[in-house]
Amino acid sequence: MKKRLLSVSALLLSAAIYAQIGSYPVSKGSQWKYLDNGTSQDATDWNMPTAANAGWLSGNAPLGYGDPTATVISYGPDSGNKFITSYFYRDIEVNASTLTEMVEFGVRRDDGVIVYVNGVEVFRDNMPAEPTNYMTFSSSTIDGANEKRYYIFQVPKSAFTTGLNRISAEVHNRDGSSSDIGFDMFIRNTNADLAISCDEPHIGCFSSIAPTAQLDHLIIAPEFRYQLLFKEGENYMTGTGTVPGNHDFTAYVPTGGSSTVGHLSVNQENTPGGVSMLNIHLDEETKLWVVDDSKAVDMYDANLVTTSRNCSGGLTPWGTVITTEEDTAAGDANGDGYEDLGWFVEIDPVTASVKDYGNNKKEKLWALGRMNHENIVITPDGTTAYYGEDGGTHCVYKFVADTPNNFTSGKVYVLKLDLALSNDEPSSATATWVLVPNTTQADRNNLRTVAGTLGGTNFNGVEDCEISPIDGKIYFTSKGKNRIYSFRDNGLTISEFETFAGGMDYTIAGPNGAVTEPWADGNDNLTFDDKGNLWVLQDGGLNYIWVIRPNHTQSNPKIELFASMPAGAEPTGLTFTPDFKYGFFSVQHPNGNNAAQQDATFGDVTFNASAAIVFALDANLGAHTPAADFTADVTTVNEGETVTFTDLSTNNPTSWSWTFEGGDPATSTEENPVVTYATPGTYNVTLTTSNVAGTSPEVVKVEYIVVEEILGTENPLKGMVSLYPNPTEGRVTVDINGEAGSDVLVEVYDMLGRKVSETKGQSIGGNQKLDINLSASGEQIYIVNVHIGDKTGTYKLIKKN
Amino acid sequence: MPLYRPFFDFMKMNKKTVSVLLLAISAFWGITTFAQAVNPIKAPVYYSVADALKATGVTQLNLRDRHYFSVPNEVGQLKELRFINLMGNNLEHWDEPLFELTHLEILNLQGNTLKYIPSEIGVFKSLQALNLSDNDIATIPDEIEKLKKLKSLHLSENLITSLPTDIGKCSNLEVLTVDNNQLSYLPQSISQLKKLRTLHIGRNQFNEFDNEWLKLKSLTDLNIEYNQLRNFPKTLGSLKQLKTIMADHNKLTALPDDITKLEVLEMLSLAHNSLTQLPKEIANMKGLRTLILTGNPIGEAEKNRIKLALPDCAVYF
Repeated sequence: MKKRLLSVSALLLSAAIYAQIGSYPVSKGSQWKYLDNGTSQDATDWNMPTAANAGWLSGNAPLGYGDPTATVISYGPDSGNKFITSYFYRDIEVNASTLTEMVEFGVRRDDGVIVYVNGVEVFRDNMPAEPTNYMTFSSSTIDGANEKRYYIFQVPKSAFTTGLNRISAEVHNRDGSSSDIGFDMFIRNTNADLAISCDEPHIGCFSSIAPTAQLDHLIIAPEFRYQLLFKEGENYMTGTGTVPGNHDFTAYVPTGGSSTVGHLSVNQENTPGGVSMLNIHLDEETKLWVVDDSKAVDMYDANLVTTSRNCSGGLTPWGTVITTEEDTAAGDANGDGYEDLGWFVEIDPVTASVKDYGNNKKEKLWALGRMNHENIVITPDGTTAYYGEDGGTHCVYKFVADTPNNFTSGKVYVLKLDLALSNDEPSSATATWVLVPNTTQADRNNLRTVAGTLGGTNFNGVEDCEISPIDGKIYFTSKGKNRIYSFRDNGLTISEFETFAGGMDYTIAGPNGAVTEPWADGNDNLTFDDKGNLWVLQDGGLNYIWVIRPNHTQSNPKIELFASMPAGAEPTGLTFTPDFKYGFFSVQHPNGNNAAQQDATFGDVTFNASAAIVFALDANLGAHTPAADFTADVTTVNEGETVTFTDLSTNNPTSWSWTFEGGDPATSTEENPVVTYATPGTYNVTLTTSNVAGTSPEVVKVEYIVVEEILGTENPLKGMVSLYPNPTEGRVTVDINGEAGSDVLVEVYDMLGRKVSETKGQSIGGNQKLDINLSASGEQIYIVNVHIGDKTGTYKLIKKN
Repeated sequence: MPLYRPFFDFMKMNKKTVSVLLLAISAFWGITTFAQAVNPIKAPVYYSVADALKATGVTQLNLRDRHYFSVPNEVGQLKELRFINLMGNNLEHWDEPLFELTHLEILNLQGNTLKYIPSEIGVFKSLQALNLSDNDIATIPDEIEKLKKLKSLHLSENLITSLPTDIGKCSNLEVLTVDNNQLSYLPQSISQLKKLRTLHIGRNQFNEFDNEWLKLKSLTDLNIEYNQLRNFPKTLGSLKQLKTIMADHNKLTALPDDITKLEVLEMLSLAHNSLTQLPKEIANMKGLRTLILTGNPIGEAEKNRIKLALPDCAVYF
């Protein structure tokens, strides 16, 4: 009986232990066992998998005190003399064969930490070298955002064994009077394969510009060109009026998926606001984009009333474009129950009209709610949208459509972090989506206010949301916090919430060497390219376009500088063609006194008013200097014959400059000139070609044209005899127009002087033809002697096969 | 949108009269619809003073975000202007050229650093929409009462401690937003705003809900969030047109029973108050669709009662 009881309790104990064993990888916010009672573990085997560590507590990370934490631990009875060391461990099952060669540890430590795997130290950070003990202070004080950052360390996989592994960490305070400590750690395989390859040309492959103040012109990475497409003050091509200013979201909307024909939708961030719709196409010959039409979208009828401060926006998977109203000025001028401003508005680019959802009138997208809208991104399946408010609540929102590709009804959620941000860094990696009512007109008019009261987290200026094509996570900018945050959406909750970039300085590998540049204020619009590069458009001072590589982390940054806007301007609204060869953005509100500069048309443009531009790798946009080349229809001719030359230059030359040594004409500017050569000899031919991009190097083909003498120009038979064809493939006609009654002898010799044929006859005093057949012989040159009476003419005859 | 009745019977008129009348009506229509909002497709909006001066009959001028520290003098020559947008400049003063624009119907000075409204404001006799949000305005002169055509007045995010005594004489006012100021009371004349539909006075210093406000019979949208209200008047139910009440973040401890008479009320936010229960007859609020009660010390039993009483309403605790 007693024995049985024992085995039952052993079973219970092992089940309890088993329940605490986690798995690999370890995510942020995991559960850790901890010891916070101030006892030293210097002399115990606490960090060995075999140690039971009875009496230890457990809680979710981040663990600590003094800052927002998921689990508050104790610092002891005396706040002026706090415990120096706190201990944490987590047991995990590992299959070593699934690990990458190096395993990534990300540790958030305030202040110092020593980390062990199965009792063996794998790294220490902000700690003095050994020997250290329970009373050792951290090397330095950690404060501000650095308290919340995750520092990355690489540990070889050999540190792990297959089966149970104990990961443990001892966190040391800076001293006994420190106000806070904190700990969290994630462990995962390294992601070295996220680095993009630039073996092939790609729009994300370039070298950084040098960090710079804004100058009086646009600066763009040296591998790129740009073309100005659409500028404030131009006349609309259709309808009256001029193009308003403050170009914002600049959306290429492909026609049938095309990367060469589409629409460009440009938001006009003004009051009244608006959207300009352009028809554009790429001229494959000139490699320049052509604006075929431009017009203002009518957003001012009695149903829509007006639009205002059309900021960023988004593209739908079903081929429309959504513009946003950042203005929530109250007023319902048409009495339809909906406030006039503060909505998403969907536009069909083909008709340049606001959508009608079956109620016989143009309508705004009421169901997504009214707020200071700034942006929207929609999942490719058309079910879900993410957007943020810039102003008001400053929250991040999610809309889940009742019917895919139909945004007239659905549910709205607001993002509520499980723990508040601290120093603008996440205190936890998890959050909840809180349902926000959006059924009635009153719900929709007041949606953001209610979202705020329901606990939505204020991110101080959510300027854009995007979805990474690489990891499927949501990325959004917080302008007020100068950060890009990212998270994974799990439906009703999110995980992996972290700072992806921002809030610190970065080292830029510029043309003049590495330069440290602050991220500074104003991260604004975001766009991913197909390789997962994140393009970040910045206002608020620096006004750069940054590109963040997909393998970037805050502890191992991979950030480039792509462009700097002309003085007074910010970049807005970047989109790409589906083939990612062309990007479109706008230069918003530049100063009026910027300098002229050359764009891809090789004409001057001046960024002295808002303008939309297209950019591409040098080879894909505009004219390039030709490389001259040519051929001739024949290169060996008899004196007096003509040669037709054909231009073979690349890059579409528009002018030609030929020189024909010994030819007539001696020079030509035609594309395919015809030239006569009167005099035997060998002659050079020279060509340079030009277009707007420049003039090719001169190409000389030396001794290219051979003009042969008809042998014996003092030929006494001149005018009486002709041989043809010459060259011949075998049969040759000797045409004799001589005096009647003379003996005729035609002898053919090879170059060794051997006679190969002889034909005799008598002239008839009229047109007389003698045939010679040389078909049996190979390619060679023959000398033909024609004797008529006492006169002899000698001719060179070329035999070809 | 006002309803335009067919007040002429065209069939009874001769052709000439009809065409003259049609002209008059279309002119009338044009002006009236114009005032609702600017239509850049019907009439050009000019974006530079220089361009506007070159043209004739300029009615719409947009000078947003031009870094102006003063209004260019030449603007005063554009006397036909009906709309001017000077949002997002650095204007501290009401420069003289503005007062030349006596035909203005829409004036947008949002996001400047104006510290006052001058007494000359009365010259804008045609003004229908005035937006002065996000300035540093502390005082408003009595002369604002001269804006008899004013329909919407936006004064959010300023430093206003009181509205002029005679604000009630702006008798066409439909929208008044004075949220994010330092108001602790509204003048008694507010009750004369018989057309007022929208009143936003959130994020001020109101300690009480004045009985005078109960005379705003057209009011549909009331936002009074983030104040210090301890209660609503007993006869709140007399604001029968109310569709929305946003009264979150106050200090309400109880609601008057009368609130249950608000039968068309759709949205009631009372989040973050000190309510322990709602009126007994809450089920009478047949129109209520959304009730926000988060952040109130309401017991489980009362929560269940509220949910049962309001089966068609989404209730958030």
